[in-house]
Amino acid sequence: MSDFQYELKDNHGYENVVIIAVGKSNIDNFNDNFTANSDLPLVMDEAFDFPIREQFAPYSDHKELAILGHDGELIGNIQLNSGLNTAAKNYILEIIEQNYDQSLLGDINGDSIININDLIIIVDFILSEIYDENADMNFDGGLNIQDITILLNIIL
Amino acid sequence: MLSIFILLFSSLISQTPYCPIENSINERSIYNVGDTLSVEDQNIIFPVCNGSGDYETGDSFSFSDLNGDINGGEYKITLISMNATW
Repeated sequence: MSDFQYELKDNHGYENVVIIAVGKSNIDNFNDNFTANSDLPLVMDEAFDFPIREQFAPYSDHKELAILGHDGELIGNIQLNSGLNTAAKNYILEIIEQNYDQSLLGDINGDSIININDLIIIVDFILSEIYDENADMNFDGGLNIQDITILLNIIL
Repeated sequence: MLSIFILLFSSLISQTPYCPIENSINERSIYNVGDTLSVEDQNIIFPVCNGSGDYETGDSFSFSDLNGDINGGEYKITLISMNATW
């Protein structure tokens, strides 16, 4: 699965996609036997509630892959019973493509991070009466103090 | 027989707890495509049992780590791969 992470980054330019493996155990305490051979960050779902699986895959909990968008929206899920084959990859790539650019709201300088630099640019835009839709945080068609407030709240 | 039992028991308790779960979740939401995880669910902390990438073994993980609206602007798309590990 980590190969797919590299593929997404190197072949498709998706640097802001993270793959998290979620293990599963039926005992209370874990040891390193359970983490062997994982090539991804691995978090553990605990028996007997399995909170992660219950949230995303309550009816078919094994080999499920869930996709979360930038704001925590569940934007897709797929069974990988046949492994990460071409059809599965295409499904995942299509969802990423549809949702990837949404991360750019507020990322005015395009560095994939929203920080004080974006705030400085939005102030410049307002003072120069320039409109940029990526800076229009409340989608009202204009740039003003409200957009600065929203962006500032995100940064803080 | 007793010695075998003692041997088995000591073997079990000698295993180092590596990744204890501290969550106690009595009520959960079930999410369908199009639903957004509640902030409470995004903030639930899970232990990282195997480090890789930005995480080291022993770190904590929550889905809010990857939500730019919560983490200060680092927006990520997250693929959650669920696999059994025993």
